[in-house]
Amino acid sequence: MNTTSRRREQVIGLALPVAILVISLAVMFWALSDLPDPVAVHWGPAGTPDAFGSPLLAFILLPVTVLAYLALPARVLARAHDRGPTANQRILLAVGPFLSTVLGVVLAGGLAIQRGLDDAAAGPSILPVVALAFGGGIVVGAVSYLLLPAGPAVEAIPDAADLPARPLGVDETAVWIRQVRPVGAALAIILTAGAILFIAGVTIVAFVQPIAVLLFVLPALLLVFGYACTYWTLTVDRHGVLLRGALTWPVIRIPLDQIESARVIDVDPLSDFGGWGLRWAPRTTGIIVRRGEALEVARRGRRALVVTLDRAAPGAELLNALVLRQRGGVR
Amino acid sequence: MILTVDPASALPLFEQLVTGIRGQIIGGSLSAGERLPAARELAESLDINVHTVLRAYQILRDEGFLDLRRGRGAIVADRARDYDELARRVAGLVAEAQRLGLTPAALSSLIREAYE
Repeated sequence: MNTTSRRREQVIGLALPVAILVISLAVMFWALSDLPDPVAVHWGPAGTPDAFGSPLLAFILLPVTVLAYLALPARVLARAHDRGPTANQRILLAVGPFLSTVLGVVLAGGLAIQRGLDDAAAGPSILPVVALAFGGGIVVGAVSYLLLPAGPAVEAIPDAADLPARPLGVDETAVWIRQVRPVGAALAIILTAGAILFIAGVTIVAFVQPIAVLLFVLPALLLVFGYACTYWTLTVDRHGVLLRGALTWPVIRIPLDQIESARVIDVDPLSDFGGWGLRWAPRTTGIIVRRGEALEVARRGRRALVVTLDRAAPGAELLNALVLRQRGGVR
Repeated sequence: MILTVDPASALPLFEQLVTGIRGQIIGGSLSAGERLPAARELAESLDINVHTVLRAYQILRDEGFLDLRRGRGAIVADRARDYDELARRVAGLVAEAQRLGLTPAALSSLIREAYE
């Protein structure tokens, strides 16, 4: 990654949203000198003001939201990505200018249109401001995305022969089995808390309005799916790679003859995959439950598989040995 | 857990399994409460007979390393907890035997004698 494209990422991902934030705040300060008291702070679906209060909230909401989001691109940029940002990282970087524009135009515009009014209730519709905010945000975000440097279209797949492999006898068979799970109790606590809240919610609703229990079907499925995608059993053997979710589902199978090589890589869930769980990144499927070490299984012409787990090296070495032996046997 | 079996080895297959699993329990990479794969799955992975795996699991149960429960599979026993000291001493023992030029067979027969 050269310094010019790195600089461009910094300008678009961080400097641009901050600049838009500063301009929006400046407009808000300019409007402040001539505003009705109280100002309109909320508008109904027709665009007419329906709630009034102090303009202070807008001054806090805007910088806090934008700066909180920028922690994410800052993290992406702090992490070395030698081959240029992935599509996922480009999206994370481009959302900064988008978010900054939408919030900046809505909040600054919402105050600016009230300038010179005696009574905020008589103010004009907010709808043109909202349209401008989203239109402008989408344009700024899309242009930012396109201006960001892109990583190479196809990354060279390492050959198993060039990677560490476990010595394996001609007739020897081997199996490597590991549990894939989050570090510490954080995620387990979140899932348990989710389950408890869920059961409490269902119980209360069942008493008040039994039919409304149906509303909980979707959250229930999400919770179960979240659990199933957080705990896995990974098996590497003569057939290839097998991943089985905690509820014996989902099952992901990669036959040995599709595998090109395996290696240990380092994964940052947010900047590499945009989060945790079963993830799809460009050309890669990820089972991402923790940061740090991960096993990457490369396939020729197909999506790679990345599974986060510690002490992954023996698995990679076994897989490379199996691949090499199969290749030798085929010839 | 990593397990290898080599049909070309002089050691019977079930013994290779026993040695591999026991070594990992003592070495700490398999800890108490951890579940081993079902015998059928392990046999499939390693391309060996399911009875070979069951035999290995039974020997490890008799040695106190595994709990075998119907329907729950094989679980590393609670008793199998603190082998750190033993593992350390074994490493020391082997190093000393190597320094003296003793073969593994000679060292294990010394250990066997000490038991009797």
